[in-house]
Amino acid sequence: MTDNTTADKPVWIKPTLRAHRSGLLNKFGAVPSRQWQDEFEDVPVADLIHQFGSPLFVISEQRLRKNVRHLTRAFSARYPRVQYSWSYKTNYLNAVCAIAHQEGAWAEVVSAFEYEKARNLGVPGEKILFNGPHKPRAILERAIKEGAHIHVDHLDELQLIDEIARATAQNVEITLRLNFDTGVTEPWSRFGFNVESGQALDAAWRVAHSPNLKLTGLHSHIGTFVMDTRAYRAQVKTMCQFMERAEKDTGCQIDCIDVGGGFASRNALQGVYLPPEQVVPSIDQYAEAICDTLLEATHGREREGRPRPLLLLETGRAVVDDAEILLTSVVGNKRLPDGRRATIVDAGVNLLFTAFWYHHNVKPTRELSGVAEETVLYGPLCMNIDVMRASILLPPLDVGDVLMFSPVGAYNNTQWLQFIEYRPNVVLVHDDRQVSIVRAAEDLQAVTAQERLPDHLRDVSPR
Amino acid sequence: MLPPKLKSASSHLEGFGRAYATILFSRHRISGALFFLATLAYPNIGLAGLLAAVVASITATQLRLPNLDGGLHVFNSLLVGLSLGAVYQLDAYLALLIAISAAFAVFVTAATANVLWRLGALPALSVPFVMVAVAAALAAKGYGNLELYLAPYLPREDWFGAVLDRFFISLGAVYFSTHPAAGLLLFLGIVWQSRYAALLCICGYAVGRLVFDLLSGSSYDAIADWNAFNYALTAIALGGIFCIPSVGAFALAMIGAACSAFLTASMQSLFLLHQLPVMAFPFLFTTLTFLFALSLRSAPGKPWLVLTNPATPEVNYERARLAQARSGGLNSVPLHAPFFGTWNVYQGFNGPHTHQGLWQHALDFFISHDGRSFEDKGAALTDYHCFALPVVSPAYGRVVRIRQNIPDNAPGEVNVQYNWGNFVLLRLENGLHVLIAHLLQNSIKVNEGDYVYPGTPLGACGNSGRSPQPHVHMQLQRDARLGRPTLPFHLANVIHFQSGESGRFCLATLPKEGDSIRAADRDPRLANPLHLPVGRTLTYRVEDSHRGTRQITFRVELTLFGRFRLVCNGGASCAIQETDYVLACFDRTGPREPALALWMLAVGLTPFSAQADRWSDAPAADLLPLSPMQRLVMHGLFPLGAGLDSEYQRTWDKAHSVWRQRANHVLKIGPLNWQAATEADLCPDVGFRRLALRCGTREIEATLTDVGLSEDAGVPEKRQSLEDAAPGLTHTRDNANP
Repeated sequence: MTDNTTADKPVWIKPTLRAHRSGLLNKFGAVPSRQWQDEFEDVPVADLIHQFGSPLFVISEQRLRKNVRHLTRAFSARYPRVQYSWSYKTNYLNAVCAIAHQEGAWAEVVSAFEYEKARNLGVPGEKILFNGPHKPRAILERAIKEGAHIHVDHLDELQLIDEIARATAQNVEITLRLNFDTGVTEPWSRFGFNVESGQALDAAWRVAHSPNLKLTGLHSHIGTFVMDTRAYRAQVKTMCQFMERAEKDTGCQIDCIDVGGGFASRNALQGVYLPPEQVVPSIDQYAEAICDTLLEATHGREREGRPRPLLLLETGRAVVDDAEILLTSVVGNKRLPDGRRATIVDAGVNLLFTAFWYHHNVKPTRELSGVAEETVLYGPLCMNIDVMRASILLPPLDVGDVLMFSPVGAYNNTQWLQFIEYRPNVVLVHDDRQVSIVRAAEDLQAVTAQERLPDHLRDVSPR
Repeated sequence: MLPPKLKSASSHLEGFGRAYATILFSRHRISGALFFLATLAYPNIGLAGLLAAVVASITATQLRLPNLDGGLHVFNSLLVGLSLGAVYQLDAYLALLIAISAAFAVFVTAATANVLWRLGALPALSVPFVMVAVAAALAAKGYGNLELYLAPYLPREDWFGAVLDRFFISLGAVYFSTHPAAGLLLFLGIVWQSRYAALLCICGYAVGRLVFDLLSGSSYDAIADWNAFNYALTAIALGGIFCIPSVGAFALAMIGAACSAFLTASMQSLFLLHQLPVMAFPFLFTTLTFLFALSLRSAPGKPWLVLTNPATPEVNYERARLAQARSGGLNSVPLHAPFFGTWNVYQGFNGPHTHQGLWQHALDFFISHDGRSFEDKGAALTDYHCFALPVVSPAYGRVVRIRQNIPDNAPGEVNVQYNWGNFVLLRLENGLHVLIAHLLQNSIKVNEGDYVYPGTPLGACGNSGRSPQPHVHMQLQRDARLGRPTLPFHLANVIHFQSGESGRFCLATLPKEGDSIRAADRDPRLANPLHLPVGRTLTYRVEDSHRGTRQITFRVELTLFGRFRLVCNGGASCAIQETDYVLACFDRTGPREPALALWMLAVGLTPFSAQADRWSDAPAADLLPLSPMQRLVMHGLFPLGAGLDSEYQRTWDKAHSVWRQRANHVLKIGPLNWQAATEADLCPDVGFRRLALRCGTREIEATLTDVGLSEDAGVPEKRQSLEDAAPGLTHTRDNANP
């Protein structure tokens, strides 16, 4: 009815108040992108929201596969023996893990739950790296029996493994987790055995003296979101020095060196002012740092009849982060007393836990008209801390407008909270652009399924 | 165990047997015995020979001359003795002459053998015999005390017909026993040893005879009859003993036979002036000049010579066949992949772009996914998958030249002024050179003069020179100049992915455009348990459906020439070779031991790469446990032997903690299809724990019971039953089969 008339009229632009700003580009990097994006992996956002509701997590199978391939290629083209392991805690949705495994990844797990999840997916024991400070006896027994790679965190755990090995008359190959100062990153001294103090070598001796244990691997994880590749050079150097020392002193033969993970993704850490494109190293740069150092440190080992160790990687974030987005819809706008505009969306920190430390990239999904102004994006929670972006320049938004948060693949689908709201659908865009649900939205039954109500509390009417 | 005296006597006897056999290129005791019998056709001649052999044997042993066991010293003296016995009556005087000339021949043999070897690994053959026999014959003319021996010549055409008689007489003349029966015995000895040599013998004789008869215009000549063995010997030597049998080698043998026929005629004219026999002169002259000339070729080729390790035609053929099956062309040089990880072939040999003509032998590598070599738009070099990835040395060698100052081209551009761009040129141990080109500017990590080995980083993949997109170019050339013609090479120890197929481990392969190549790794979990040090003993309990249960011990021995051999307690053995990437078994000798055949089929060629889950091999068909009838058919159809079509697969059996290496061995002969299946359990603690073979109704299973190390001076023998060696083993087994 209005189609004929609106074409001639100028478009209505909402009135805004705007403080004077100078320049577009400043010393802190480029202007926030004004681009909009109405599709993800060629699937229209509107269709996704219409079919699967809002908010909605969307994973790209193609992007995830590409990332795993890129990572394994970057390392295996630089070092002769490389094995990649999918870090379960980063995103342990079955679909995500299965894609990684199909691309040849082993599983890196840190709890009984994750171990069982990997086994349940069909990953054989010998392709599981079992990390973490808490491995109860029952799961340890199973993991040992199934030939998993056990990464020992502390002496009591070593004792427990020794006991199990002796009781079941098995030879158990173990890996020691090491911690040390790289001089670049904050030392994570709470995990594993310290190298500088001699604690790690003591542990190696303990292993050497046990008739049932054999030290065959070394592991360390220097931190998370490490943006300086020098840290990895120092890490590999220290680990190789320790390997030579332990082999010489205790007569063991180290077959694998696990450098953990910690590669940064193209995400903007709060407090870092340069954009990620400028500060985050590429996978190839990480690979170069690690493999160059490892090749040099193991130079000539093979000639002496001691094989080069297998390089194990536990990269999570850098592989999955940009393979997933979060779509969320505007539920309301308001003006704050200080003049800033506030927009409330239907996804909060309950779903996007990483909003606590990242400035996610936020894109509108249609071309917005109007002048961009500073906006606070709040989530739906009835909590003051529920801030998705504390400050972002956005033109005015209508209720129902969809915003795309990215990258969100790492840690959100594992650290999210069932708090106040139901958790929404997670869908996967297949290689062939088909879309399917890989984790269904919660409902009352799902959320309360584990609850048990004592009989005398069934009647809630006041007594 | 024999007492020492008896033992030494039996070894002397064996030495004699070998000496008699060696004259006709045989090593077999039975052939030797037949040949000895042949000499006794005329006892005067046979005994004269025996006397010479005894004298020579004592002389050589007392003087401790090298290579005593080869029979070389003895057989030349033996021939000298036979030659004298053929002319003079064996009495005290002749015995003295024989003793002197036999001892003399030993010295001449040692000296001649060394000179000829230095000349180009040439064999001495019976050169010393001819030298000493001519001297002795000339000297004997002046010795009045010697009485002429007139051999009781038998009427001709009485035995096997004219044609055969003449053939056998000439063959008998090798041992101066010009009797058809002696010749028959000799021929049977040759057949016993090698059917192909017998074929060469007949053909060579026929060709030489034809040439001689055509030119002389007469088909009857007693002296020519005696000397006709030269044609046969030349044909055997050139066609199968010192050359790998092939059509080319057969043609060469026939040309040699014809040449020796021509030489025989000319020698006869010359030697008759002095009433001297021609003896083996035409054979020696033809064979040695042919071999020497062929060994001077700038690049070895067909017919392939086997001067250093000659054997019977069948063995030569089998060695060459397996070497060809396993390591590709015999004159192709193996190189490792010049990278880590998986790359694709951008251009192969005889490629459409630049690998043509003189430069046809070259490989270009890049990385491509789903048909694209780049990410994003491909506008920047950094978009290309392989750009700046490390390039590593494909061989052991020395860096002789580098260049790294050529800027990298933008995608799509080429620099034809500096075709090769930045490069590293390596000189290999064999004197050839490898060029690795189009490297990234200023990325080269080695200096001229550095020694590198496979896997040493050389630089990074770039886009310099005639390179429209980042790739690595590798070629082999003779010298260190750029742009030299290329030589053939192949890739060694790689996983080769051909289009649409899963990867296949290849000891040697030449990939085509579009194929993927992955540099195979060396997994210590596979390599360590398969290490077989000298003295290692492996005892298996062998359950054979046809032979019952036995205990067989394999022992690793090291030969004088540095070859490792796996020797069974029955004397059967095979060569084993352990490289960085494979364990290979080949070259079976000795009695037909089923357990050794099982080992050679099941283990065959075992790669040390955990990524190797499929590969093929071509072990000798002779290893199959065939019935005598089947064996006869096979030998009839493939007189030189044949290779099996063997497909190996290896999987990790989690429940038992072993690699299970299964193989199917097929021999297809028209409608016949003989096959066997083998299975080997490779245990990370003790190596091959169980081997099994099934071939029709025949089933053989070998289970490892003991692992040990045989004693050495000051080191007592060690033996460990499997329970002690790997206590976890029984546990796993029990778990699996409660």
